[in-house]
Amino acid sequence: MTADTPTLETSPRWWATRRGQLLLAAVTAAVITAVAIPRVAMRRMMDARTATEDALATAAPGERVDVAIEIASANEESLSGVLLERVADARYRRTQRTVAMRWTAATQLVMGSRDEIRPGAVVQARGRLCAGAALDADRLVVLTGHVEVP
Amino acid sequence: MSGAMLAAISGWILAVGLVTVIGWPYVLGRSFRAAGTLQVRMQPHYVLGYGLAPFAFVHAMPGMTPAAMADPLGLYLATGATLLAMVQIGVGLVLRDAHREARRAIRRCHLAVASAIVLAAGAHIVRDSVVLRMLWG
Repeated sequence: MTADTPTLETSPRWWATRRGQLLLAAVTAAVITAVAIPRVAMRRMMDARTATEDALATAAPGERVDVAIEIASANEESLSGVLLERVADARYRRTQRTVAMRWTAATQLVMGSRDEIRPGAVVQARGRLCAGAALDADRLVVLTGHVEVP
Repeated sequence: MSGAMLAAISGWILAVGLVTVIGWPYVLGRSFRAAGTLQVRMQPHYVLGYGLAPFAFVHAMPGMTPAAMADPLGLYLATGATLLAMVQIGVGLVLRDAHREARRAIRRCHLAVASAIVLAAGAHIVRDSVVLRMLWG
C-alpha cells in the first residue's frame, strides 16, 4: 500500500460530509413521516363527524351520511345496531335509535377485517340512506379497540 | 396499536428503507470520493440491504390479521417483492466481490431486480395501503 492510498482509518467518513449529513437528515425526516402519516390519517378518520340521532331523523333518503353503530346483529349482507353519538375524542354514547344497513363484498373495509364485523363491534359506516331509513354502506371502518363506549 | 396500524407504519418505514437503499449508491456511491473509500461509503447500503428482507417479514406479521380485507393480488405482489429482496441480497454479495470485468453485467442485473422490487412494492402499496384508503377512500 502506498503512502497516499487512503486506508479505512485515515479516509474521510461519509457522515462527516455535507452530502452525507443531508442524506441522514432526509432519511430521518422520511422515517418520522412514515410513522406519523398513518397515525394522522387514523386520527383524521376517527374525527369524522358522525350523524347524531336528530340529524339522522331529519336526513332524507338518498342523502350520504356517516354513522357510528355498536353492532347487535350481523351477517354477510346486513348489519344492525345501536346508533352511537360522539361525545368527545374517541368517546361515544349509545342512543335509543337502531340503524340497519346493507353491506356487500364491494363495501370498502378501510380498517379491520370482515371477521371483526360481529355483534359487540363498533363500526363507522358511510353510505347513502335508502327508503326505510336503512343505510347502503359503501365504506366501513372497524373502531373496536380505538374508541370507548361506556 | 392495532395490527392494521402496525402493518401500515412498518410498511411505510419499509418504503423509506427501499428508497434509501436504492438511492444510496447514487448519492454517496462511486462518484463521491470525498466521503471515504467505496467500502466505507457503501456500508449503509449493505446494512440496509441485509435488513430490508427480514423487516419485510416483520411487516407481514401484523398484516396477517387484517389479511381478509387486503387485495389478494397486492399480497402476491408483496410476497414476490420479498422473495426478490432475498435474490437481491445474493446478487449484491456477488457484485461486492466481483472482478472489474464482471461488475458491469452484475450491476445491471442488480438494477433490474431493484426495479422489479420497486414495481411490485409500489403495486402492493396502491392495492393494499390502509393509509391511502383512509386519506382518499
